Amino acid sequence: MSSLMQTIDVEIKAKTIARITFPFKELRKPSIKVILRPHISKNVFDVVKRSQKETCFISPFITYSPMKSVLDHVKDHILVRVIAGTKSAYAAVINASKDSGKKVLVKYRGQVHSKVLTSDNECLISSFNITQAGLEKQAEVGILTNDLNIVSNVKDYFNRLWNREHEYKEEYYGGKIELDTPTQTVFVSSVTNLPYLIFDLLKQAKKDAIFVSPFLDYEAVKKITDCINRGVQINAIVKVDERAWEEGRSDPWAIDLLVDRCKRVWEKPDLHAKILIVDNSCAIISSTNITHIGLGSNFEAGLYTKNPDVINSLKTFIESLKVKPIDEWELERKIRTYLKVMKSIEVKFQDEGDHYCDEKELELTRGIKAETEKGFEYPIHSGYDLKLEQPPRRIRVIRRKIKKYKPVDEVFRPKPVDLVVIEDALILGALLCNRHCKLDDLIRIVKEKVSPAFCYFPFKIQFPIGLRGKNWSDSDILGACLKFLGERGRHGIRLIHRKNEVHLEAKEEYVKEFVRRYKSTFSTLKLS
Amino acid sequence: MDIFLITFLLIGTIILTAYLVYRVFVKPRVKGFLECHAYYNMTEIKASLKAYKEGKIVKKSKTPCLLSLKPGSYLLEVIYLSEILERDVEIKVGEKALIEFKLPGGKLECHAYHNSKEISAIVEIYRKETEELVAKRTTPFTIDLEVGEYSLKATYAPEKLEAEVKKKVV
Repeated sequence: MSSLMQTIDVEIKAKTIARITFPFKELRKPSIKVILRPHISKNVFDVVKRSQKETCFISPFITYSPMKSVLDHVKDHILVRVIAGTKSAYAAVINASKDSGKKVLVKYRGQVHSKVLTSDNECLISSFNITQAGLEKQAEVGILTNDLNIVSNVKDYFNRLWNREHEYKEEYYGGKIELDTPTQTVFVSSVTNLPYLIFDLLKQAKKDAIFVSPFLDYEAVKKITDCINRGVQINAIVKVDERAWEEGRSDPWAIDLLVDRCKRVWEKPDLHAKILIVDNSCAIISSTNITHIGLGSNFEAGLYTKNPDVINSLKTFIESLKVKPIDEWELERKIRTYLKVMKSIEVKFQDEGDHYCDEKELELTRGIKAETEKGFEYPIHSGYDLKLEQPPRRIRVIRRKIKKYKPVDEVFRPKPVDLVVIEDALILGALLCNRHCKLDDLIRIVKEKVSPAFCYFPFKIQFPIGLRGKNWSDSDILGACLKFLGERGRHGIRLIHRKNEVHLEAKEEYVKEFVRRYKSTFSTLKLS
Repeated sequence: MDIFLITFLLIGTIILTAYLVYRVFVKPRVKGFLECHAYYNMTEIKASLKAYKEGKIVKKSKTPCLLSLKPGSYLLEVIYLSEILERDVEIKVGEKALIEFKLPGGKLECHAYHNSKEISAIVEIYRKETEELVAKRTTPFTIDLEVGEYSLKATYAPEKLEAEVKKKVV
C-alpha cells in the first residue's frame, strides 16, 4: 500500500483561525503492463535508457549484436551487471562490452534460466533472451512494472545469484487468496514458489487451465496434468519443434500426452512465452518450461498475478497464438521421422552451461575458463525434492554429424485426403437424409457410397482421442467422428450427435456452397 | 402462614442481594468513567458538554461532571456562550479519564492537496508538549482546539481511503 506522510507544527491562539495545507507531492503510481512483440526491444532499450544508477540483466542466452545494441543505449556512467547462463552468452557479453566501451560486469551461472532486466526502480520480467530471436522474432511475453515490492525482490534475487553472501528470502504465495500489493502481482522464483505454486494453482482449478510452454517433457507434463481435477478443461499451446526434440530440449511424447489429456492443444512454431492461467483469475508469467530441469533444477523467475488487466491482456495474447490446432496425424508422422532421425545422430552428455550452443559460439568460449571453473553455491531450489524421472539422457547434439535422412516410408500410411472424404461423406449422408437421421442409417449410407474411405478410417483415428487403442465398432468411430465434426464445423456446417441421432445444422447458403464444392467428389450421390 | 411469609422474605432478600452485588461489583466493570471540567480565563465554569460516538450524541451534561460511558473512543464538545472546544477521548473499562477544557480556544482549518486537487488525508493532532493524541480527522475539516502548540501528522494513502469510504457506504 503506497502512502505519503507529512508533519506540520501549528500554534493555536485564542479566537483565531489557523489554516494548514498539506501539499502532497506527485505520487508515483505503480503500473504494470504486458509487453509483446514487436515492442519488446523498444521496451528493453527504454528501461536501459531510463536507468540512472545501475542496470542488471539475467539471461541464459545472449548473443553479441543484441547485447551490443542494448549496451549502446546505456548511459556512459551506468554500471551494467549481467548474469549469463551459458558460456557463449558470457563470451558475447564480454565482446559486446569491449566494443561498446561501457562498464560491464558479467558472471556465469549455468543453472540460471531466469530472464530478468532491472534498473533503478523498474523491472522487466519475461520469457525472452537477449538474442535477436528473443527480442524480435519469437512469440514472447514480458511484464514491465515499477511496483517497488517486485523491483526490490527482483534486485535481491539478482544479488543472491550474483553473490552467494547476499540474503534472499521469498514468501510462499500458494495459499493466498488475495495479493496485497498495488499491482496485485508478486515476484516468484525457484527459490521458494516455483514449481510448487504451479501445482497448487492447478489443484485449486475449478473451470479451466491454459498452459503455454514451448518446451515440454513427458514426466513434467504428467506431473502437472495429474494435479488437475477431473472436469477442469485444459488447453495448451506448445511448440512442435523437431530440432528441440533432437537436442533433448523437448519431448514429442509430452505433446502426445497433452493431446490425450487436454481439451485442445495448439501449436505455434515461434512460441517462446511461458504462461499459466487458471480459472481466468490468476496467472504465472515466467521463464519456466514444463520440463524436469525447468521444474526441478534451473533457477527460474516470474510473476504471479491476480491483476485482471494483466490477465485480460494475456488472454488476448493467448487467443492470438491459437492459430493451428495440433494435427494428431501430422504429429505421429513427425514422431516417426524423429525416431528414424535419432538413429543417425551422435549424442553426448551435456555439461552445465553448454545449453546446446552453436559450434561457432563455442569457439568464443575457449578463453573463458577461470570464471566457469569456479564453483558457485546456488540457493536451495524449491523443486529439489521433486521426484521427476529424467529423460533417458541429457544430450547435446553434434550437429555436423547429422546425416541427411530420407523421409519415412509412407507405404502403409493412409492419405490425409481419406479423412476429408469421410468427413464430407458424413455431411453429405446427413444431407441425403434431410439433415436428420439415425446414426445407423448414416453408417449404412457412408458404407454404401464411400466404402473405400471408410475402410481406411479405423487405421488411423485422427481426432477421437478417447478411442485410441480400443477395439472399436463402426458406430463408435462414426460417433466420435461426428463429435469432432460437430466441434469443428466445416464450411459453417455442424453435425450434431445426440444419443443415437444425427442432426445437421447449417444455413441454406452454406449447404449449397458445400454441395457445389463437393459435387464432383461425390458424383455418385444425388442430392434432392 | 408464617412459614410462607418467611420463605417469601428469604427469596426476596436473596434476589435483592444478587441485584445489589451485580450493580455494585459487576456492572460498573464493563464501563469507564469520564470526569470533565471546563475553565474560562482560569475560572471553572458550567459549560454544556456533549459526547459523540460515530457521529451520534450519546451523552449530554454540564461541567463539572462525572459520566459513566461504555469503552471506546468519543468526541467531546464543550460549548460555553459562543465558545466551542473539541477533542477526542478514549474510554477504557474501569478507568477514569480526566479532561479539562480551557476556554477560549482557537480554530484549526486543515486541507490537503495532491496535484492541485483537494484530497482526503488522515490528520492526527498531537499536543506538542505531551505528545498526547488530541483528535484524528479526515481533511478537509475545521476543529476548535485549546490554545497551545500542536503537531499535525497527515497521512495520504489513496487506496486505503478509497477502501474505507467504500466500507462506510456499504
